[in-house]
Amino acid sequence: MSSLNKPGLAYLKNEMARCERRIKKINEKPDPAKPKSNILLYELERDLRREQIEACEKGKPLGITGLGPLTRAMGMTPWDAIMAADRTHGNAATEYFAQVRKLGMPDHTCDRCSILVPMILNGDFPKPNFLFTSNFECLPVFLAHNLLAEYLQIPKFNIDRPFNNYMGERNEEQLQYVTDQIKEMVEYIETTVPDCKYNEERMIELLEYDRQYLQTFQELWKLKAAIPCPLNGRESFREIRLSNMYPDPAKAVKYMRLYVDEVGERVEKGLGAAQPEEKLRLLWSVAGPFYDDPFSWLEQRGVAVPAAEMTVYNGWFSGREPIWGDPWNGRQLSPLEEEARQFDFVWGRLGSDWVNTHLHSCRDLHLDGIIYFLQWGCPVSNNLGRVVAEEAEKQLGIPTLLIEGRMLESSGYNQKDFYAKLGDFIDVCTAWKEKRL
Amino acid sequence: MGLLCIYVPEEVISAAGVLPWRITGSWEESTTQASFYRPEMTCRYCSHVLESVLAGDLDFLDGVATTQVDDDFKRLWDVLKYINKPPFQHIMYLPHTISKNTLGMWHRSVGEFIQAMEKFAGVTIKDDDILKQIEIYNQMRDLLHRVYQMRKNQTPPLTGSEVLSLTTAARIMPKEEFNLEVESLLPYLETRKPEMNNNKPRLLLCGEFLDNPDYVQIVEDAGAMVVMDELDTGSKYFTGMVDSSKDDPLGQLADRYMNRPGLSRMGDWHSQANQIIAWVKEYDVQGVVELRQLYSLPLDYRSFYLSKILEEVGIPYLSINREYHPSHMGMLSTRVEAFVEMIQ
Repeated sequence: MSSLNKPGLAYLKNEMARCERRIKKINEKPDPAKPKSNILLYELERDLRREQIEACEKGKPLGITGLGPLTRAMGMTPWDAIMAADRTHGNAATEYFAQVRKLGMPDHTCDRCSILVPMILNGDFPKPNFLFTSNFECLPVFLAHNLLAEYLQIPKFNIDRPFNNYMGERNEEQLQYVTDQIKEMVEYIETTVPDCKYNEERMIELLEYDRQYLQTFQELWKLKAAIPCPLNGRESFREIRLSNMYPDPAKAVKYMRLYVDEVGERVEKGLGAAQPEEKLRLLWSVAGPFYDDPFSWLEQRGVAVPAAEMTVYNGWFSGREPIWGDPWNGRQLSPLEEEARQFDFVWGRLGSDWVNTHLHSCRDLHLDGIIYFLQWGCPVSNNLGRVVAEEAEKQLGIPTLLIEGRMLESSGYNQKDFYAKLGDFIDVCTAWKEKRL
Repeated sequence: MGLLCIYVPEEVISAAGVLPWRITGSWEESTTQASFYRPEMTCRYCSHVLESVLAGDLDFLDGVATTQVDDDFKRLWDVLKYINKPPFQHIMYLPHTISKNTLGMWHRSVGEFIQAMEKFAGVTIKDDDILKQIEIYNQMRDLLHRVYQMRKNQTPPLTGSEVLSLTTAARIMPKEEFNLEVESLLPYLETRKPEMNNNKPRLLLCGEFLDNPDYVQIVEDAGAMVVMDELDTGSKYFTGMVDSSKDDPLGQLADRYMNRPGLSRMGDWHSQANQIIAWVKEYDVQGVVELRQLYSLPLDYRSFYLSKILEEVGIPYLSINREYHPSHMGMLSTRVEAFVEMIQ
């Protein structure tokens, strides 16, 4: 149990305090090198934590139904434990791993999913009132959610979807299949979780905010292609939440607009993150050592990292896949069909899509190489690293560094060794680039 | 046709005139060639299968079929597809929950598999062909069920490792041939009096992708009798008949593969735990030993839940990691011996 003796509040209050500190710092002494829009982002994050605390204290429903706006349209406050686990790196992660081993759980699975279990069992993050599981996410996330649901007897619903994406040949039928399951889930929640009732008007409103948010994000993808790259690696690596996750989605849309405008200004001025000038541009794939900052190290050596191939949304961000509506006949989709479309991204599909999304990003953003992080316990990504590397070389003539590591647990991390490998890879990329040109 | 998981309906393959053959990976310690595509810490069964494929040990296979039962299997299939070895590859969509809705899509997936097999074998598969195979496979299931019933005896006529050898034969032999062999074996088993100490603790063995009898042997050498299993290579392979009484052979066939006791990748751990508890009572079992394959995540996670449930009902439970190939046998043996002593 947390020191505050209220499950979930210790983590949430710490996060809220951290956001407050950052907001204060920006107001008192803004850093001209950082986006001014950051203040809005911290306010959004703070407000989400505040809302979660309130849900805990007042017994309001807390849960997750997927990544779309359905959670809020059902009257639940979003429960973002996986992302919360991502923020517990360094010593905190090492402590959680000690607990994982003590519990007899495997310590070789994906860090964020390993940490998630003791985090919830300890009461360091709130226990949800409802959980969804799905085969469209990676196996460790499914297993962690399933374990929590079964172990703590939390109501859960599983959404299944075929592995061909909606642009594939089965399209409409698949969409209907997932939509029907979502309808079943809505009924299940309404009868199982107190104070939850589907509100379609709210759903439509939230979908519209998400659409605006994603449209703006597509502009960002184009800006990332600029040479020199205006974004630093840490910005590229940030896993964004969609606007529906925040209590004030209009503010999230405003934040994204301001942020993209700021990036646009950097492009107009020809400002790049890599110093003293941009020599190479790399894709960073899957995950990275979040307890360290290899991006700054790369940037100081003239290497930009315009994109991370880790998020579930790159198909949408890049505009390669439609973000809205029926992609086949132009038909307007119902709100629950739109929610169903969000149960379709590259982590759940077959390998060819995984490889192609890497190649597309490299082409779109004029990249010279791929750093492919082999995160322990991630079968989706680990078992295709070599194929990505072979295809990147064959189709684009660029090299790939397959580098093993853990994203949160740092006790076995050897910075000198890690950076030496990055340094060698810079040399390889430079030689290959000269050969290509 | 090489099979990687128990969800591929074998009757369809046999109806196409093709021999279904559940793939056993290399039992060699090293997976040097496979490690080119698969890092060390991923499902060891999948890595050992890939090693066998790359080493040419499975060149006799004309094709491979699986479902996306979990990410490791999906990615193994992706790599086999990428290297185009064996020459035919098919992956079926498998829902991970059972409802009217998901069963409908599963039926479609089975229908697509039939079409793929027709194309592969150059034949037309009719309902009657499927019905005939259902009858043969049901007979195999019934025969194996009768063998398992004998394991309830105070002194079972077969050891656990012998039973695994028998189910292994079922998974790779032509089924009609297998049925004839088992039919002739049953009378012998009914009278067989093995030299076994009746006072040994009776155990149920859990695990997945466990196809090497050496692992069962070390449990038995530790002073226990393995009288029941929850293995996909054992009881889960044959439990559950296809209902052939209705006029929808394809639907009935598909339903059987979804309704029988599932792998840990399916989320219904509560039902799986209940099934284990039921078998413990039925087979008069005193303890459950689980040999989890290293780096196979679903069983790793389920074991945490299972330990809580079995503790609540007072069933002793030991869950330990093992490699896919025979390895660290002495260490495993010590752990199992300690467990056996504890429950004696």
